[in-house]
Amino acid sequence: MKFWARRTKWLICGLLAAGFFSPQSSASGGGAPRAQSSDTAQNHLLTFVAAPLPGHPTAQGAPSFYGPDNLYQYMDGGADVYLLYDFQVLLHEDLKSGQAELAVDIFDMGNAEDAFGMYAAERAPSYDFLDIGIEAYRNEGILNFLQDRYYIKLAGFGPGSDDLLEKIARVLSERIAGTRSFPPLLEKIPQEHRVKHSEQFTRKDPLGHPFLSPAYVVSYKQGESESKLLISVAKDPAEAKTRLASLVKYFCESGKCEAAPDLGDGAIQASNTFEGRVIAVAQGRYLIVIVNPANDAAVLLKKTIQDLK
Amino acid sequence: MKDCPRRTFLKTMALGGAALKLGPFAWDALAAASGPALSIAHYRTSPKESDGISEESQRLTREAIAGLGGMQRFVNRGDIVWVKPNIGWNRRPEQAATTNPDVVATVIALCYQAGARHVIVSDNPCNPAVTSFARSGIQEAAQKAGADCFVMDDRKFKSTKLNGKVLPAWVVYADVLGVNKFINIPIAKHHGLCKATLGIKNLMGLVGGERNRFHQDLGNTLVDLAAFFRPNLVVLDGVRVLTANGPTGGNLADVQRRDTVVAGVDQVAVDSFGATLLGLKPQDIGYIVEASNRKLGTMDFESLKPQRAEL
Repeated sequence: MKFWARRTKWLICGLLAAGFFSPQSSASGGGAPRAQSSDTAQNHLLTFVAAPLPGHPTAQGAPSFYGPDNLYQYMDGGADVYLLYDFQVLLHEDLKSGQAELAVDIFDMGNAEDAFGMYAAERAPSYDFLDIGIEAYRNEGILNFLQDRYYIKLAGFGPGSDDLLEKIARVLSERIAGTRSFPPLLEKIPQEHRVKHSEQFTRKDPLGHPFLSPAYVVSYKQGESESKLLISVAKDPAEAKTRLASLVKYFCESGKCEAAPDLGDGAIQASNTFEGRVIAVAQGRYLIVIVNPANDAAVLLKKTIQDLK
Repeated sequence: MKDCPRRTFLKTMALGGAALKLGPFAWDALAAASGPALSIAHYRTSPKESDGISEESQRLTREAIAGLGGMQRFVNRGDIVWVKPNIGWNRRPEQAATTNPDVVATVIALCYQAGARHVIVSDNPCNPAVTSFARSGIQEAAQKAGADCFVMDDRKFKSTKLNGKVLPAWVVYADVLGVNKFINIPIAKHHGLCKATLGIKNLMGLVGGERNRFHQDLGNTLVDLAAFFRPNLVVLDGVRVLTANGPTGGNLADVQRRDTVVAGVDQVAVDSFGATLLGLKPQDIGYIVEASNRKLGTMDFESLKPQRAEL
């Protein structure tokens, strides 16, 4: 009995995997443009913080710059996540206006997608958001926002600093200009039941699997049930199918996995004790995975397939 | 330093030298053998106002150290004590990226009550030192408590033989090797790379050079430091805990109250308990596992039968 169950499981895996390796026409997966040379990038950053700024703050020393080689000196182990998102240059400047002391950090992440990824890695849906740049949040003594390829972190200390942070953030936002919208993929996928401010862009090991990198992850909530929609971005449809095959192999080895044709062409449903239940399908150059799918997750999956076509 | 024979150490002690060129490691076994190894003090309430938190932090620190038998177990008359809080960041105490200044000040006061001749407080921060020392509130609190709190002098970092597994030698702040007692006072907080910053990770503030190289093998390098700098006492600040976006933090939304101070002579046990303040298991943190494997202490902190005080 056990023997046949094991054989059946591997047979299903084999059949599913074989289908996923079938040749497909390739689509462009070109990367986003990177930042300029270090000197150019530094000079560009300086234009953002040039006087005049609200409150007419005075610089407390010369601005300092950090690159990938020495970011660690500024932020210790916090640097690793930035480097993962291909951090380019940091401008740090301390300012003082009256009794308010401000620290301005502008991270040039090289492109808007990585800037979003880094910003999103540090924010939580429960934060207090406000309308600056693409998205901003604040708390006592801090105001962080995302715009174009920049992640801007402002810290304030002393009386009046919170008001000043917001005024300076708005001026920086005007000066930075550039892109003021989230990565296009996030605009495409379903809005209904989406948990606001839950979107992430993961460069390393989404769900713990290197073969899913990079991926967007968004939470959806209906009643008490919360699911995660993961969209693994491959360079072409063939690679997306390979990724699905890897996922199938993983679940076959760690739990169970079967074809789910009612969810879409080549779709699967799988489960194990670690990830729980997932449904997944390859669509174009995307691998769409829903973790902990709600009862009507098929609707979300099909809508996502439609939106990504 | 590590090679210095115990006979030499005792001989030097007999000569009455206060500032021994021995380093702190030699004191570890003496302290550990003479009383409880771990003490945990917890406040039942979470005062919201700053005066209340200050009083809580002081009481918890006193109680945690009393649970080990009091500071006189660790500090003798005439001792020169190096106190190492986390002053690594340009953050206010409420942001929980740096050690609570009231915990630091209480340790200093207890050192002097036990007869210390001189207490030194310093760290090698990541953010600009002058700003971080002031913003953290530690410099002011330490100086008020009578300690000498200063920014480290770059010229005093010297290449030092560590005999570690991956660090045969590294650049160490020389003055810390000239004191005869060493107290590590970390804060428990999230760390993006190694999951938690606790006592062993806090030892990085005693070394200089290109510390980013540590990240190539963080577990082993940290444990090499722990094997070298064996503190006489570790006092872990768990009053406010940074639960996300560490080690830098900054957002008060990421800070949670745990209202706990832990004191111990087993740095692995202190860190293992500290991991639980962050919702982690000691086994989740690579350097704790490595330190345990190298028998620098135990991850099974309950086996030490910790003294517990509920205030």
